[in-house]
Parts: sequence; C-alpha cells; structure tokens
Amino acid sequence: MKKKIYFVRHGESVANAANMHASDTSPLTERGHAQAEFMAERAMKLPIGVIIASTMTRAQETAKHIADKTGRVIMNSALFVEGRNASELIGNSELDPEMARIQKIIDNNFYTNGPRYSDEENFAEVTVRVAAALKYLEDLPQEHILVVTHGWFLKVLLACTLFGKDILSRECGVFVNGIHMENTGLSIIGYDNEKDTAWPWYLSVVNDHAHLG
Amino acid sequence: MKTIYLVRHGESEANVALVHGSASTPLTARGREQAAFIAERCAKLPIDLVLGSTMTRAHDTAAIIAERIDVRAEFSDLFVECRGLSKFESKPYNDPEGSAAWQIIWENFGPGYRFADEENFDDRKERAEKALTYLTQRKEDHIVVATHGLFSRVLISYAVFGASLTARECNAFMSSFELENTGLSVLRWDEARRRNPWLVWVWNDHAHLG
Repeated sequence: MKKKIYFVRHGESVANAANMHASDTSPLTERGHAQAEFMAERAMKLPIGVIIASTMTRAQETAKHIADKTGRVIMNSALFVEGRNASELIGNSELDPEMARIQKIIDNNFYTNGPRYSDEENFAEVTVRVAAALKYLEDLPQEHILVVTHGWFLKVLLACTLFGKDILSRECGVFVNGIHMENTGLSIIGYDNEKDTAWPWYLSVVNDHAHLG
Repeated sequence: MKTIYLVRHGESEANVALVHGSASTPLTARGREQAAFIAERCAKLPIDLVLGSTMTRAHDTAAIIAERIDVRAEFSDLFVECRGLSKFESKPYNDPEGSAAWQIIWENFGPGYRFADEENFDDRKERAEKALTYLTQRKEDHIVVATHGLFSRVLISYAVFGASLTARECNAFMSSFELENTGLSVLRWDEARRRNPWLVWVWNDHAHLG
C-alpha cells in the first residue's frame, strides 16, 4: 500500500501576529484567512480524499476554507493538536524575558529527554502521540489525506518520519530547531510498506509555500 | 543573513536509464524543460550569483538558470555528486554485484570505514562543511546552487546537525528524504540565531513542475 499525507500548518493566528504563546481558541487573523484561501485554491489540484483537522480553532478555521473549496469532508482529531504548552506560557508574549527563560529550559529538557518544567508535553509524550497519529493515518482507507495541524507538532512528526520509531531526543530537538514552518506551509510525507526497509514512512516536501507568492 | 537556493539538476540520461550517473551524463530534453521552469521561478527571486557543480547535468542546469536571469555563473567541484564506486559507474542500479557492495557500505557507513574508492562518511561530512563555509564567505547574499540529489541531502544534514553530525543522522537524510529533479530547497544563514546559524526554510518544493 502507498499513501501520501499532505500536512498544512494553520494560517496566521491572532497569537502568531502578536508573538504570543497561543491558547486553543486563538482564531485566524484576516491575513490567516487569506493564506488559508490560497492554500485551499492549491488543494484543488491535489487528489485528496479526506481532510483531517486538529480540534484547535486556528486549524478548524483553516480546514473550513479547504473543505469549502474542495468539497471534501472534514474529520476532527485531537491527535493533531499543537504540543501542550506549559500553563505559565499561555497567553504571554514569546518576547517577554521571563517567558523566554522558561522556554529555553523546556527546549533544553526536550533535547536531553530531561524532566518536565511544569505541565508541558515532553519528548516522551509527544513521540507516543506521533506514533498514534501515524497509525491513525495508516489505518484510514484513503490514500491521499490532507491534515491541518500546527508548527511545532508538525516538525516533531517530520523528525519521527525521518528517524523512525527509535528516534532520540537529541535528533528530534536538533531537527525541530533546524527547520522552519510558515503559516499554511505544505509538507508531504509518503508511506510505502512494499519498500525493502523496515520503516515505511519517508519525507517528501517540507514547508512548500509557493502559493503565498 | 544569506539565503541559499539549492536546486537539484533536471532529469539526466542516467536518471531515465536507472544507472549510476557519470560526470558527463547530460540532461534529457525533459531535464532541460524542467531547468527552464525553475529558471522562470528564479526570475522572481533576488538572486545575485549562480553556482553550479562541474558535472554536466548540474552545470547545464546552472547555465540555463543563469542565462534566464542574466546573473553570472561560477562552477565548483565543491557541489558535485557524492562519488560512488568507480567500478559501477554507468552500471544499472540493480546490478547484483553493485547492489551487494552498496549493502555492505550502508551497513558499515560511519567514521573511518571505507569499502573501496567511494566518498565515505568522513569525506562527505568534510565536503559539506567546506561547501557551507564557502557559501557563508561569499559576498553575495542570495545564491542559487545547482547541485545533486545525494549531496544536497548530506549538505542539509550538516546544516541541521553541524560538526556533531553522526553517520546515523546523515544516513536518515540520505535514505528517507525525497528530492525531485529541479526540486528547490532553501537554506537560511543568520549568525544571530541561537544554537545554529543555519535554518532549513524549504525542502523539495517543486510547485513549478505543476
């Protein structure tokens, strides 16, 4: 069996525009809606059978643009939500020195698979969620699936696609720090269980945003 | 701040014949057409230098881009494809003896290991480091580099992991990353960035191929 999964990061959110750590309900800005519409136009050319959307508002709103254009059904899934932020960060500015200090500790803990700072999703937890997400995509009957999701979670998922199920926290942390994800950037992974390798997933495209001009 | 646009060469005769390419493998007619598409796309980018590998397929891809956008082209061995085993040059990918040799190479791929005259892990890593350093030392800020599939993956793995790049990390990029003919990958370099000045902005964007 062969599959292609088209991941789309949500459009610009109010939190993105304000450099804030987002809550679940941060909506798209006007610009975010326009970006989602460009992506929806592009999705018309993709052979997608179904749309999977994270349950967070900014992803739901992005998915609606794509569904309205393509006529495909949206299925909601909490498997593709953004990584859970530490409560101390949510609603605060990313540029605030205290928030940057906490974020740095969280990032370092992620690299080293170290202890939690507070209630954030850590390396062990998010990689379990990625494995469940990949299994969910593998089990869907559709061969071409579009998933609307989030920047950090998508980068972790792409790292897991590249390194397989034995991924190390260092590999994941360095990869996540080393790639960029634009609002409505399109990233594609492939699945082929007839390949002569043990791991069926591979990375095809990262952050193609040609539709933004 | 620099932006590097890595472009894999267009389809070559070796790509179509499923054989290991030699330095002189030319582009096919389709490969030239793909190069014209990416050149058209480059016309919208603020490019001030085109660099090309000295191998014909990438050299000609670079020349097509440089001519379209009227920017100077230079050619360098730093961006050639990773050297394979000379014994199997122009031989089919599925040649049994060649496949067996490569299986041994991949199983042992790592510091200090060499099978025969291939560019090994140490050589690839060293050349990636030299190529990235060379790019940061150029005075131009927006540079197209027409290069090759395998070397692009090694280069990107080094950009992400730096001097601590392990064979396992390099291998993951070489084996699990797809790259189309004329696929566009974008690297950004910003000295002010924490942890690592290199950032992979885009990988294998081929929207120009329709």
